[in-house]
Amino acid sequence: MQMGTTHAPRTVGSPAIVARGLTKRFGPITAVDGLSFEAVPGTVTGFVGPNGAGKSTTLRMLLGLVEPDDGSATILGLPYASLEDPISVAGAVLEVQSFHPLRSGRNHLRVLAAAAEIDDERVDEVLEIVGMTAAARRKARSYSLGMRQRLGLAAALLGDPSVLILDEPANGLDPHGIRWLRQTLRDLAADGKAVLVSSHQLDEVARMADDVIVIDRGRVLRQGSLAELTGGGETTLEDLFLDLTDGKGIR
Amino acid sequence: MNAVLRSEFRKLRTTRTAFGLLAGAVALAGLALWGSLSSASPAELAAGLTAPFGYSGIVIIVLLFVMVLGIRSFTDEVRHGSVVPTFLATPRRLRVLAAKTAASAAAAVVFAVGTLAVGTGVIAVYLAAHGYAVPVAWWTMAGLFGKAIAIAALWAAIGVSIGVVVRHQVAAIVGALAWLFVVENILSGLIPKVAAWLPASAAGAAMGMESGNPLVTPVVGMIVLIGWTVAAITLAATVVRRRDVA
Repeated sequence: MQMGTTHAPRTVGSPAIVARGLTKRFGPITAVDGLSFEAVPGTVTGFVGPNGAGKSTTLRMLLGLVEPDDGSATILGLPYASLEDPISVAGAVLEVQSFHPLRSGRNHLRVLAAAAEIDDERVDEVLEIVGMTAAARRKARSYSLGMRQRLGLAAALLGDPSVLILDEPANGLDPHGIRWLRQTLRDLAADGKAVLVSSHQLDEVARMADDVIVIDRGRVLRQGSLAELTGGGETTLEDLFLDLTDGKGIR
Repeated sequence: MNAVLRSEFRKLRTTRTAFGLLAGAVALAGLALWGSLSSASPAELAAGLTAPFGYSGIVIIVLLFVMVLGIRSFTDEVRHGSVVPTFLATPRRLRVLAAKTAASAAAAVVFAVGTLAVGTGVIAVYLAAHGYAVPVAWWTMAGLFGKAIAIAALWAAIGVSIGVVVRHQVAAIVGALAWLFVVENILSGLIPKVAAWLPASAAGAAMGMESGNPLVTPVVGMIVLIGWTVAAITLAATVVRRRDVA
């Protein structure tokens, strides 16, 4: 797969995404409670936790959509909103539905390209990368769930960013789509990008992630490489997850 | 800033929303004219054209549609989730607000010009066919058009701000129309001296409509309307900067 321009390899170990003590309260509920973690270039980092653990809120704080009550989040050293050319630094897919249903997928991307001063040729390039060229001129409401995820990923790749942040990207994908997603994210990491993927599909995370962060109730329960956390295969990510989250599993 | 504005113009061009609303405005203006043409004699019509009031029907239709267009600028994005990629591409949200305001105001100019031109053309042809000259100097007409266009642009800007503050599309549109057509009318009856300074009354005064704002002169009316627009944008700017996009 061709990923467009290639970057010089980044120094492995210098984190691309840094969260420090991120905290968010909604009224009496503390959704995210002093969360700290890092994601490094060249790896897929799985961000796992039960529904309601604070994953989506955390990703939104990383991207400047939600203001933390405390703590900070930086991408390549700066808060997302302070980045000069944000979507060329970090691309994100947060929701399956993030486009006007009566606008074509291609026009959706052209709208974003205009805002980010990206050439329209790049729009056709990312459509090709995610395999959406044939459907690009159709209205988005005709797209299947899998096609919507692909269009979301195309938007995230528009600026050829070195950081990708994806919230539950496997939701709604069929087995072909899931395999395609896994391979795409692996390729992007191999290309030197830092890929942060939230999911509650643990077997899927186990198959694509290098590093894993397990959170519940807004706190980090465990983080490390997948091999470390599973004792080199002694235990599965699912067993670990169920242990850590009091056997409640996915709520 | 130019990039964000270009993006907003692309948004307007790449769905049918704006075109549909424009067609609606022209069609409704046509219907209103048809009503006037069939109920008034050419002499009455010529007299009505002289008075700014002759245009109030068309101007109100334009304001109605550009307000809905403005409200939809942000509420469509909230409704369909595209607000997330929009704010990811432009995290400086005031730029997005400024671009939406400018793009909607520009579209409002097109709405006003199109609707007024069609309306004037129809009346002029009708009068000519009945042997009446258009009894108004061109600069008088140009002045009326200019005022109507300026008011439409301000009105669209207020619509954008209402959408940003309220977010929920149906609530914003129903609330704005209820204010425009019901609440201000009621207040005009209850507290006329205060109500004369409210947005719809100010717009009426700015247009020089006889219909009910003797308290405010056209110039003051326009200044008051600009004041309301600035207030609305200020409120929207405060809200959009601080509010989480969840």
